[in-house]
Amino acid sequence: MRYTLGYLALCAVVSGCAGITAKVLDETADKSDTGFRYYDTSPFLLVYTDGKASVESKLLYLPDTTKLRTIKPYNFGAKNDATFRFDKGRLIQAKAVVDETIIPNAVLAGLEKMATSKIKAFANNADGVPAPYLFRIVVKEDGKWDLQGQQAVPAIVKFAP
Amino acid sequence: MRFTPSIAIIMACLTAGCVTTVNVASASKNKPGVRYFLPKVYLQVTPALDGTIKVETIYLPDPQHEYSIDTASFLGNYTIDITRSEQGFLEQVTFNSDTTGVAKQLITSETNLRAAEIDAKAAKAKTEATEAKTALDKQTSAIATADKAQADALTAVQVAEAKLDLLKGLVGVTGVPTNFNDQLLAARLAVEEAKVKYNAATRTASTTAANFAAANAPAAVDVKAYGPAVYYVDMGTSTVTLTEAFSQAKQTYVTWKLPVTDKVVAEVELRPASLVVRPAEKSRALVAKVEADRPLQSAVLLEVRDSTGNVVTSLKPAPLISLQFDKLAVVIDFPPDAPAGDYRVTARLDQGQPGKPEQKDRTVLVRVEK
Repeated sequence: MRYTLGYLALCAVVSGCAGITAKVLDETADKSDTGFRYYDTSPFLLVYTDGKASVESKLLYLPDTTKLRTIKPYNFGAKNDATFRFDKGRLIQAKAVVDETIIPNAVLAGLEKMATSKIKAFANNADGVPAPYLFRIVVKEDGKWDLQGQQAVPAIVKFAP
Repeated sequence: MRFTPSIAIIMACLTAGCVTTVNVASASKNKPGVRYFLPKVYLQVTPALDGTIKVETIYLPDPQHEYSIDTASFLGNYTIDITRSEQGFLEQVTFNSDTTGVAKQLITSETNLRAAEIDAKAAKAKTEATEAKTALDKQTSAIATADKAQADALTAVQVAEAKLDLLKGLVGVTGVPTNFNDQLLAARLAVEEAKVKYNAATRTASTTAANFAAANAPAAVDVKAYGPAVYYVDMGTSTVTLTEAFSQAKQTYVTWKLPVTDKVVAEVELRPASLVVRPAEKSRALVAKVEADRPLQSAVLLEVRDSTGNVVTSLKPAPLISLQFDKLAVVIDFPPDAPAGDYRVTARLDQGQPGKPEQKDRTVLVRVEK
């Protein structure tokens, strides 16, 4: 029996074990965790006037500071050659899927119209240009898309003394 | 030897190159390891003087999320390569059991990339310098060409005048050819033609020089601008707000004006700047003729100095200066008994317009030979 166990143990460690652990963190767990911290990505809609009576909108995928994650490789008796790639706090390689919510174009167009309706008129001001709006793109419980956000404060970007 | 589980574990470790652990902890003051930050997200809105704005996303290190990376390996020969951005964000972490190959490849790739960047920058700088030199050479070549054309035209005038003077000296002499009067008329016409060409060449040279000066003079710039507005992207679970991170009102604004040289205006010149006069054949008159490079309103004699720099008062009558009908030729009449020698004749020329005088003093060196 002892020899059998010994052979089994040998087999286990010879084949070894290695891998990656990834998990969600909150600020409390962040203090004690030992993996590479990163943020997951979320979509945002930026809307601003170019100062010449036209409105621009941009879809931004930003590192979401409310989604702290950790990833850590481990190996025991095995090789674990791994590469993690990060970009501005986001993990972009080593996970099977980059967590960028795919927003259909038709939905995005509707969201842009929704953003325009939420914006007070970009009235020209002698002192400056209206500040931009930033919205978080969210999916409500009923599955519908929505925008949550507002204009920057202060609301005027001055351009000349 | 009995084969126990503990022996088996040790053998496996020796075989497989065993355990490597990576610890990434919240950084504290004395914590060892490689440091990196998670980012804070901001929006930067930069106003332009034309009333447009540029909106950019910028990332700054979050001091509340600073970490240190430490590793430990037992019976292993792993390499961990950590790459960070300038801001201290993590870019790449590589674990590799083959230390030499990856490290060398990374170093070589990085070196090649840097070398390529340096080469590209050097090539670009060289191209820009070559283009600037080519443009400058073109401009200076145009000026040189115009100056040469002017000098050649002046020589033609002097040659024509010399021929005319020679013919004038034969007036009244017996034995001249029967078509002498025709020759005299042709010589007069040749002088006038040469003068017209000289005046045209002079105007071209002045214009070319003025254009060159204008093209190469720095423009005045007076700039006053606010700096960019920077907003912190404060993310909530289901919303987001933009709050002012760096106040535009509290920034220091810079106003500057580039030094401006006075706009270069080509000044009037008298040519030639020096000339030799000899008494005319019959009249013995000592007459020096110079040409202005632009029409003049008047020419007034200021003073005559000798070669030692002293004002000449002994010439009786004093030399006369007169502006000819074409407003370009200036004639200086010396008294016939003026001693041989060098004379510096200074005249006050009005190069302005009627009612708007613009006076410039010019000096011509006249050598009287007898």
